Amino acid sequence: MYRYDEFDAAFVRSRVAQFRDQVERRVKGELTEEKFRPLRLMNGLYLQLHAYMLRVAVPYGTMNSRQLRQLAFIADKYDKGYGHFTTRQNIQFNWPKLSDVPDILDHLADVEMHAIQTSGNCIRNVTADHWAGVVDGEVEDPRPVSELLRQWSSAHPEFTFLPRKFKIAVAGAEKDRAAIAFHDIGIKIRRNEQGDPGYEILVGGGMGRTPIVGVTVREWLPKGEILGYIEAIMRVYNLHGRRDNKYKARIKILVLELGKEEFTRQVEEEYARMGETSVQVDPAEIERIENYFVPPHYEQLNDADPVLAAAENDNAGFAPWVAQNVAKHREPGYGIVNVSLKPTGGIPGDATSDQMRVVADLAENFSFDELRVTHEQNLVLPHVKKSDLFEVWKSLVAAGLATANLGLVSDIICCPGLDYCSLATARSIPVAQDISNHFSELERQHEIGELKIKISGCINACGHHHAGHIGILGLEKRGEEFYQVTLGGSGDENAQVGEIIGPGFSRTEVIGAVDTIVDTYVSLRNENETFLEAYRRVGPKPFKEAVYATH
Amino acid sequence: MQLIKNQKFVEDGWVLIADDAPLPEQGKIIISLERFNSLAASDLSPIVHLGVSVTSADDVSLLQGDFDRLDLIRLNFPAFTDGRAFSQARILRHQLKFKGDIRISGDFILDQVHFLEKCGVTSFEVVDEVTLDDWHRVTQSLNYSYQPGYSLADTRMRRSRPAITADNEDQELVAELSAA
Ligand code: SF4
Repeated sequence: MYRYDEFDAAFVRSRVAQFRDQVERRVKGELTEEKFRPLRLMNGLYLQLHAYMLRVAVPYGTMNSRQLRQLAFIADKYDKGYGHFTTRQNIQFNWPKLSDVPDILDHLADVEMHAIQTSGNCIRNVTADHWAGVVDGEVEDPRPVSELLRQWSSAHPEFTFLPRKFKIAVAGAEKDRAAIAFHDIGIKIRRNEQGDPGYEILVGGGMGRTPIVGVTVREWLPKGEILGYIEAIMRVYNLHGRRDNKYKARIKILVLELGKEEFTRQVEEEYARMGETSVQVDPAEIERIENYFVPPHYEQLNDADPVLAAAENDNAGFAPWVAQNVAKHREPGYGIVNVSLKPTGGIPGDATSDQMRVVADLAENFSFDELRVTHEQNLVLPHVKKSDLFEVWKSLVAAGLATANLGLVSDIICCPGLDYCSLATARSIPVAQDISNHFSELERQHEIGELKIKISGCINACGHHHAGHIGILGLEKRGEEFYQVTLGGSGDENAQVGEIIGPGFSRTEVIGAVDTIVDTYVSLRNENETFLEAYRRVGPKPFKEAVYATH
Repeated sequence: MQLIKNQKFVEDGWVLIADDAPLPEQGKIIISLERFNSLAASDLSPIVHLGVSVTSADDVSLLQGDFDRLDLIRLNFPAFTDGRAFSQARILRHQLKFKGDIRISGDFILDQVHFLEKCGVTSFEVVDEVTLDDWHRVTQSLNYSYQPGYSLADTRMRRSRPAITADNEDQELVAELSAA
């Protein structure tokens, strides 16, 4: 994985010192809260319902054990002993004190981490496929270009006071695990007809109150031109994005209002005007970054492992976990271990400091010291030998981290909602917990098969409900929470915004509605047909009929 | 209002002329873009030094044909969160090679000054009480840059670039302006 050189380290330290000074000016009253606000946001610091919240960047979701242990240390020392992994592959601490934040940032800098641009109207932390570099069928590892973009976007002189936040995601394979079509810019690594790798560029996707799938503005861009082309998009957006209405300020609205053709024309015109020299990335720099992401030294192994087979036979809970949570690695004899942060009735994405240390140890001992955070709010040990799986599983079981529910109905994405978030209109965590408890029988979950439920506590859609096979949006009417249900959303390569099925449900009704939807699917599905496939075949009608007949 | 240029308070020799005020025959005057566009070349005294004040919504690239008549272009922040002036400055300085003074007015904050300089801004209209110490401390607190095309002469950069690039031209230009 990427390691800071002297320059990166000095940059981050200097950014911390700068923020320390900003906090001091705020405390002394030299900065008003109004002027301090964008400055603290640019360093990941929010003012929430009960306290400050600090969001720490995990660039493209990749970490090592030392970094995760440091997060555990911060959780213990400055928070209440836990952290929350988010849908943007970051981690949030919910209880830091303002005056402690510069020290926390220094602790982060000690392990090559930061909170730079995890919020604010700037280019946010770049996200990527969490199985990057280990999954079959990848054109290229998406992380080198993500790192290049991380560096390029850090404290960008021109693009730090944009109309609104700006999110970029990168996928390296045909199968999209980074939901690129729901980002301001989505980058897909693909080959052109000559077989050369380059980038397809999507613009204008997003969730929020105007959910929309991004459009392709360039089918194929040579790799060396990526920064120049993104700069052209950013400049068109910075100058022409709407600033009169916060809800219309994202780039998706600009693309919508101009139309794809006109928007693309403006970008191409700007790009042409920039001229050759400001466009090309130094190939030596690309190579320098790519060298950090070369695969580790795998052992030559047979894919089938006798130790694993024996353990699967002898331990009732082990085989289902392997089947559900261990994905195929491109190297024979290795597996991609997915660590579920969705225990029955738990808070999706939360991990205690002890759990973080367990995962850090496992990463160090069994996964070439590397781990990932997923946008589905789980963790990944990307390279575990099959013969080590049983050891790893035992440690995870002991730490409450071995729920065999990856991609199943209880593997719910959920935003913090009204329990933490000052923008929320309803609670989301308790709904996730209720659903998880309701479907606690793992066997039933396996029978139901792949089903992605996503829950947001307000229209901002941080819980990605628009992309949920079943999406749940918490709203409020006359002081009462109620929940709107959408069906058929998807964040993959066939991205789709879910459709609202009808009037909303109360807190108590919503679980029943989900249950009815699931039962309806089970009764009408063809053999081996997933929920999404079945929904795409039959449409919303049978689900609506069933749900509104019983409620 | 005070003017800061090259990290120092300087005497502002420029006068902002209201749209309905008569045009002076000499001196350094700044007029609005609207008025500028409505004037014929013959309306202006040949010995007047001319600056034009644009809003954040204006397309600065339309000024390119008038560069030889303009010594100064004044940009504006209607609110400090409105970052269009960054791109306007960048276009003027880097793409169109405007060689005069690019000045910032309006609601910008100290923490934006360094970024503005990297985009090509050379002077600042400061309304708030500020000491030169604060100015130096805050505006030079992050002197590292990942963006080769936006460097100042003293910016610390990691990446080396090919010998002759537009960026070096920019640097030379800024150095020249600083010396002036
Ligand atoms: S979706 Fe709304 S409630 Fe949930 S985290 Fe985002 S802003 Fe807060």
